[in-house]
Amino acid sequence: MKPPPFDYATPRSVDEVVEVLREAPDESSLLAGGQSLMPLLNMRMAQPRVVVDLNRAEGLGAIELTGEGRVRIGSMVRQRRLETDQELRDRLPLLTEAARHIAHVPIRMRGTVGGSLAHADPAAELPAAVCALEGRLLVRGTEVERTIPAGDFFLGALTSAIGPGELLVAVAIDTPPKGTGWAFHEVARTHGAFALAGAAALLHVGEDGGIDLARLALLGVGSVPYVPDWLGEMAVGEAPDESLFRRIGERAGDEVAPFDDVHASADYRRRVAGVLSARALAEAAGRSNGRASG
Amino acid sequence: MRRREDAELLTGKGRFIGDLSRPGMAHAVFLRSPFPHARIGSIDADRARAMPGVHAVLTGADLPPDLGAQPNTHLFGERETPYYALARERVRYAGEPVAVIVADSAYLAEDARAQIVVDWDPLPSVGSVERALADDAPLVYDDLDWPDNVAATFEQEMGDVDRAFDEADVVVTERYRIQRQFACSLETRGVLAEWDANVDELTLWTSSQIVHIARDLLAAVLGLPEHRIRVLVPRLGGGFGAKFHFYPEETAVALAARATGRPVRWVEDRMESFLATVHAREQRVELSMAAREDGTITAVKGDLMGDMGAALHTVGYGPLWLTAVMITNVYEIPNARVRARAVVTNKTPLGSFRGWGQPQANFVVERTVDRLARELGRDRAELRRQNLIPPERLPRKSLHHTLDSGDYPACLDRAVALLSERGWPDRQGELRDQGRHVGIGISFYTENSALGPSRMLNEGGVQQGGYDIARMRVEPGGEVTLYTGLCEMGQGLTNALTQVCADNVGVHPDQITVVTGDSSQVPYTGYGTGASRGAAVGGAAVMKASRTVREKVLRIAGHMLEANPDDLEAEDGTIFVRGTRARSVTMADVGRAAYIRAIELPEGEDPGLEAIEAFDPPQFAWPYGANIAVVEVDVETGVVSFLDYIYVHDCGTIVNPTIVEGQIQGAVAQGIGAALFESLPYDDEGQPLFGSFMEYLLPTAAELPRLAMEHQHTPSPNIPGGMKGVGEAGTIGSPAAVVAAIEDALSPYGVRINETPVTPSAILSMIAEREVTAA
Repeated sequence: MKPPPFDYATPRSVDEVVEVLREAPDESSLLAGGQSLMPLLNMRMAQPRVVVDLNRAEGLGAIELTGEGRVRIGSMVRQRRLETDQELRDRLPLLTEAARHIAHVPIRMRGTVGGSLAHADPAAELPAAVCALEGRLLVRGTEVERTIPAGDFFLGALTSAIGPGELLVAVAIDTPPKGTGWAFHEVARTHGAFALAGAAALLHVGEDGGIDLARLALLGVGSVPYVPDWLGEMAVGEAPDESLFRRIGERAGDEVAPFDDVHASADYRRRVAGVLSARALAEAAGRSNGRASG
Repeated sequence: MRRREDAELLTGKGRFIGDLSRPGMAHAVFLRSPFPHARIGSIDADRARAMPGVHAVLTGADLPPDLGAQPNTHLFGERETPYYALARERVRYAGEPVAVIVADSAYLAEDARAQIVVDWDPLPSVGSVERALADDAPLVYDDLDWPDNVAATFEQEMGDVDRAFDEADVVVTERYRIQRQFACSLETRGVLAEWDANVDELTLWTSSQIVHIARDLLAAVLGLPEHRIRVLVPRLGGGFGAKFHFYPEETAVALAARATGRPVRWVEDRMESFLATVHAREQRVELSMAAREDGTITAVKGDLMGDMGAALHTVGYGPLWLTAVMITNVYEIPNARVRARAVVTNKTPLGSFRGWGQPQANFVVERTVDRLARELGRDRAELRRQNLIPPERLPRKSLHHTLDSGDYPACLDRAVALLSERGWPDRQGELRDQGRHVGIGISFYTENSALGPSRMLNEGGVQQGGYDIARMRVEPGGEVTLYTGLCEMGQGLTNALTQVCADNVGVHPDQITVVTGDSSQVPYTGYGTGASRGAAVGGAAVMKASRTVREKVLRIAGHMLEANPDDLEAEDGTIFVRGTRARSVTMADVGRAAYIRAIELPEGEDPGLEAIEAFDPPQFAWPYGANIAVVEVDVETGVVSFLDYIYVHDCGTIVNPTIVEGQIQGAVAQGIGAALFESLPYDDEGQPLFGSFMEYLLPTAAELPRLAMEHQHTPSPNIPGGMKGVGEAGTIGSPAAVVAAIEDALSPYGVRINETPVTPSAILSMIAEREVTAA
């Protein structure tokens, strides 16, 4: 478990990162928190010519909150900060809840928001949470900065829309309307292990008692987070009751295409994805309209 | 007394193999087989050998022609399964070492490994006992002309089993599948070898639980006299039995040191540890139980198949044998018959892991007793109580062993009472009424500890003793040095031995230093550090040596104080006349007389203050206990969580309660790992479906219950001091109790669980099957 030789670059700014990437766009790996890249290097499953360390590049580590409710999280923000930053917790509690399910505290102390998103592991929490939040990913390349909606960012297992020579700079998320409930549910075989299935939900109940916003993203049940595009049609205007959520869960379970592995069958993942969807929506409904917060 | 090494270990000052360095030291890595079974054609290592910083590449062809096969010390009458430091001509499991690469760093060695080209000729292979026993099964040892894949068949019987089954009112039969698991200690294995060519002496630092046995086996394999090899064991980060074995890497690294003329170190990396370190547990068992209508169990018979992997390792098929002979557990069952077949497969060799074969025996017996209770409509605890051997009928012979002492019913009764005191099973009823799935599971175990009587071991075929030898010395300054052949691997053994020594010689524990892990200094131990023998057998040897020294201390002190030695007491390093501390000398005074001022010795007393004593137990010691697990199952996700866990046990005299409780807590964690999490699955051909902690799940603190633990105390009649072993106990009864609790929680569905680990996925499919059946 020792990596083969590689060059090591320590750019000091995003411009310098882009500069370094330009030299070997297909043979560079970006090092953020190192929680996935280092094992891959040690197992020799990744053999880049250059490892570009982002830890000394300025401008990637901030959480910015704008007046109109927009949140911009730099790609090098540690996952742990999603739990400890009070203002962020107030605005995006779903993100905080998702972060709590990532591995263990020491890993979250090193692991970054951008690292997790760019790695695009189908069992990871943040990709699903950012999909549910309809975040936008800001990607910098040689010439331009692109904004990619979360729904278009995850292309396959461990594959994102980040192209050669590009890096993920930040994720921008609009704070959901006031009074939106949230929930994040996941099943893993042990605390901190990879999720077998999980669900991130947002739900807002209007003054008339009907649902006026519902979003759901599932993890661990396919090669990318599953976001049901039929959810609005099925839920908006309906009363937030258990049977509705159960029907949504069943439909979601029917539509996902999970895989078998040593931990669980595809059928298990399908069923549990449905169960967790229903539970997450129900809990989000309970938290809606400011009935619970923080 | 608090564990004395904790400050060192917790502040990162412990020195393990991975911390050791020698001048000029090179680093080794192994090239391992990617195939479960293959013939090795040519190996082209020229490019690797030519790389800068590479000192040597050794393959099977480079081994000395007279090098011995890796030995097995537990000979129970089996076919030989020879394997070597490096594979010669063929490999029989994925992960088998094929070449060792020595370079200036492990990085360079791995770079060189990537340049080695092996001409593999893959052969048909078997990945399970079912496949290995099929009529047309590929043979693991076709080259040795084996007719099948059975390395040994062990059979034993007592009473008249057939008659008991004929006359039974009730017979239950169940088939069980117990998965592969392994010790997976925090510290992987490691070896550092240094060969002094001038005097042809080898120094080997190794992460081993068997200092002298490793030395002797290495001497035999290399053809060296034993005293030319010095084995050193630094701190160990856990052993759990896997380090009780003598491994190919120990031989290979020694040979690499000789070939390169340099000290060579190998530290097993985490990923290779999943294939290179012995696995454990895997068995298929069919168990039948016969009983009368009143619940009396009259007979048991078992048909066991052990998946031994590709070779019988250091302990042969010992664990399977132990499962077989413990098939009556703690019950008064007069008739029993077992057949155990040790089956070879193209998988990592099976070996030792905390509990040896006992968790399997306990699982199949206890689960079958549950089945019988259901069949008879009896309470599970009550049916057990009825069949437990009552105290007045102990000692009692079972298939092989003699259970020694204790009060099993009192222990079970207390556990059941504790369950009620803690509000179960009333709460179970309330929660069930709320639609929650809460279950209670009970098991009762005994443990084969204080191994063991040397004569019995040798008669059974074990080429090791079962005694332990302790050496203790009072130094001239009054401090004490205690030498033991047993190893400290984090379990706290040296604390327990210190306490025994302090009490028996009359010094303060702080005055005692314990020396372990150096074959040139410590006395020989018959069996090594395992089989829950440290406190019982090692403690008894320390007690004997300490008492011998104490007698001499009192004679010298009596002379100095002009008092009768019989009137003296020794405590915390002071020797005084009973009743008056005014007349006293210190241990330092006595030490000075013994070594420096012989003029102060009594007439005729030899100088020196040292004793070496052996203890060979006349019988095993048998701790026992009850596990009661209370779990809740989420029937929509299959997730199991613990609501309570009761553990009432008796391990004889307790030397250090903190250590005993820690041992049990940790062992129960591994039992819960067996019940719910840990597994090493292979495909039908023997390709591993695991490779890291992504697949091999260990329970964390978040998954584990806090134990409600109580001790009972029946001193062992066979061990001076009355200690019984305790290190493995927690692994034995916990899987059965946890699985029984899950089954109880799922009783509305009527599922039967005969296979571990019980995963969420398995739970949902069992429920689904029952629902289909019901519909």
